[in-house]
Parts: sequence; C-alpha cells; structure tokens
Amino acid sequence: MLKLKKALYSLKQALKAWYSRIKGFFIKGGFEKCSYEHTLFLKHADRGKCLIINLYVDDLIYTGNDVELCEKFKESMKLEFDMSDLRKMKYFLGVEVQQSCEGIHLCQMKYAGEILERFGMGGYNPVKNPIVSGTKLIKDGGEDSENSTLFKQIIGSLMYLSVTRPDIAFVVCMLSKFMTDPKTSHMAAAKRVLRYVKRTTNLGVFYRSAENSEDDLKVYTDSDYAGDVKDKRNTFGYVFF
Amino acid sequence: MELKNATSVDSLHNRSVAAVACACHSIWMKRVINSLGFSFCKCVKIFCDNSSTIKLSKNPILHGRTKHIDVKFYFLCDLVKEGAVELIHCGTREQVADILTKPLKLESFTRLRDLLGVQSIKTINRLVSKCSLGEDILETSCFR
Repeated sequence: MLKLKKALYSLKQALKAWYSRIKGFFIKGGFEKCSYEHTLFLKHADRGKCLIINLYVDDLIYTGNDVELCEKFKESMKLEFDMSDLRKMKYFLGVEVQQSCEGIHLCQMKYAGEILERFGMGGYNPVKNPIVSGTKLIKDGGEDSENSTLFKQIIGSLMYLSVTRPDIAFVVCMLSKFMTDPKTSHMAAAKRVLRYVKRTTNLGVFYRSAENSEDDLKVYTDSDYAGDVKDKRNTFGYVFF
Repeated sequence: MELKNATSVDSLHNRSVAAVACACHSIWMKRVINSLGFSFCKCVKIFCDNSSTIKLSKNPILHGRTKHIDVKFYFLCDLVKEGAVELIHCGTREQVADILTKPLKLESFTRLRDLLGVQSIKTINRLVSKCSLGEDILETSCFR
C-alpha cells in the first residue's frame, strides 16, 4: 500500500486540499472569511480601508479602496505562489468584462461566436426572440427522436452562455427538461435559440454604478401556474437589482 | 365554479412558494452585501404581481382557501413582521421576472430585456466614450 504525501491534480481530495491551503494563507494574512459565502475573503485595515477577494478555484478577483493595500497583497501573493498578474479585469472565465465609471458590462461575445461556429449555424437566418410566444413543448408528442448527444451539447453550451444572458435563461431551462429523449420540435426550439443568439451576440448584462446608494435591494418575483402541459409543473423566477 | 376556485387557491400557493424561495435568497444576498460593508440594505423590497399573497403575508388569516399553506408561508409572514422583507404589488408591465417564467411576445420581450439591463456592447461603448475613463476597479490574478 502506498501513502500519498501530497494532493495530486484531479484527485477528488485535491479541491479540499487546495482550498484549505489558500484559506490558511489568507487567514494568516489577516483576512476574514465571509460566513455567508465561502469564496469571499475580506480584510479591514484602519481608516476604513478594505480589500475584498473572490476566489474561483485558482482564479481570483480582488478589489479595494486603497492602492497601497492592493500592492502589498499582490507582492505577498507573488512571494507565496507562482502567480501571473493580469492587471485590470478584462476577461474572466470566458466572460468579457468592460469597466468604466458608468458601470460594469459583462458579455460573452467570443463564446457565443464559438458556439454558433461549433453547431454550424452559419447558414441559418437570425431571429428576434428566442421562443415564439404561446409555444407549448410536450415530452412525448409522437414525433421522431433526435440525436440526444448533440441536443445535450447545445443545451450545455447555452447554459454557460446564460450566465450573462438572462434573456435566454427561461428557454434553456425549459429545453433542458427534454434532454433524455429530445424530439424534432425540441431540437427546432434549441436551434431557434441559437438563431436568436446569432442576432444578438454582443448583448450582455450591464451593472450600472448606483447614483443613489441609499436604495434598498429590490427583487421581482413571478411564477407561471402549471405551465407544463403534461405534468402540470409550475415555473418561478426572480431577479435582483 | 369549483374549477375556478381550485385554480385561484393553487395559483396563490404557487406564487407564495415563489415568494418564499425569493425571500430566502434575498436574505442571503442581504447578508453578503452587509458583510461587504454596505449598510444601505435594511429591508428587501420584493415585487410580486399577486395581491392575495401580499395581503396574506401582512395579515395571515387562514380560511378554507389557504388552509393547506404550510410552514414555508409562516416563515414569510415572520420575515415581513420583522421588517426584513417587504412585499409590494407591481403591475404586469413592470414585472421583469416575467421574462424568466413564460414565452413572451416580441414587444414585451424586448422591453423586459432592456429593463433587465441586458444591453449591447455598442450602446455601452457609446455611453463610456461620453465620460472620462474611470480608475482601475477590479483586477484579476491567476495561478499557473
């Protein structure tokens, strides 16, 4: 029997090992772990200075209100880890970021282009909306089955795209219910979403910088009663501002 | 008549469940924001287009139609009483969450998409070119 001395990449324990490694380093550096969000670390210095770090596996974003504090953090990280500094955030996990004084714009233009190319959407006509209003898709409508691997690939790609595209989130969620046995109509609906994406590749969410920071958090919630024709399931959604 | 009754009850239940799920999420969001050092976030405003849910959350009178509503709903009532969340009625035109629940007509789809803050990069570039460049806000680092 062999005993592992260190965590190997792709072992299931590797994730935990990495997380405790970096967490230990942050805690030692005077950071506090946010108790409501495990990947968020905060450091408060005197005179209201603070540094916020958000971690995604081995990528991290940081922001702060003091240049000195940020520089110091960067130096300490370079000493501890083999790290490359990408300066101002422009590209993170496939999301293109554009920052300005007006706000932050997130989009996945490049990724959308790649999806369209991958599924050969070059010859299709672009459309204005991802789904025709009043469409009811049913599970078993006596149609021919389609290639379920291709369908799964399309839905998977679209799901990642919906990170910055809440406008297609509903359709993608609805179509993902038919992943086990997609029929002709489901494939047609998925193709329609791709045609919509083709028309609107450059759309993304824009977080406007608040003019009045006294505003409370606003949430819109809505639900659709028994929207599913066959099993009468309900749908609900909510949006934060 | 009976069928209509059943719908109203279940529709109310459905919307209440949505409101409760939404309230839970907003409480979490509020805590994260507060831990980041922002103190503005005291009461979360939840906009809902069902007035019975709102009425019931303020004044939980149980009668024949609402008897089946369970412990989740009492949780919502408690949150409203504490002042952690507030349920507000809003018209269908302003209901942004509609885009996440049903297939919409093109006109309302584009209107709600704009309200959601989904904008084209060209519009943003036009906006940005008007104002002077801001300071570096977020920086990324990645380990190799």
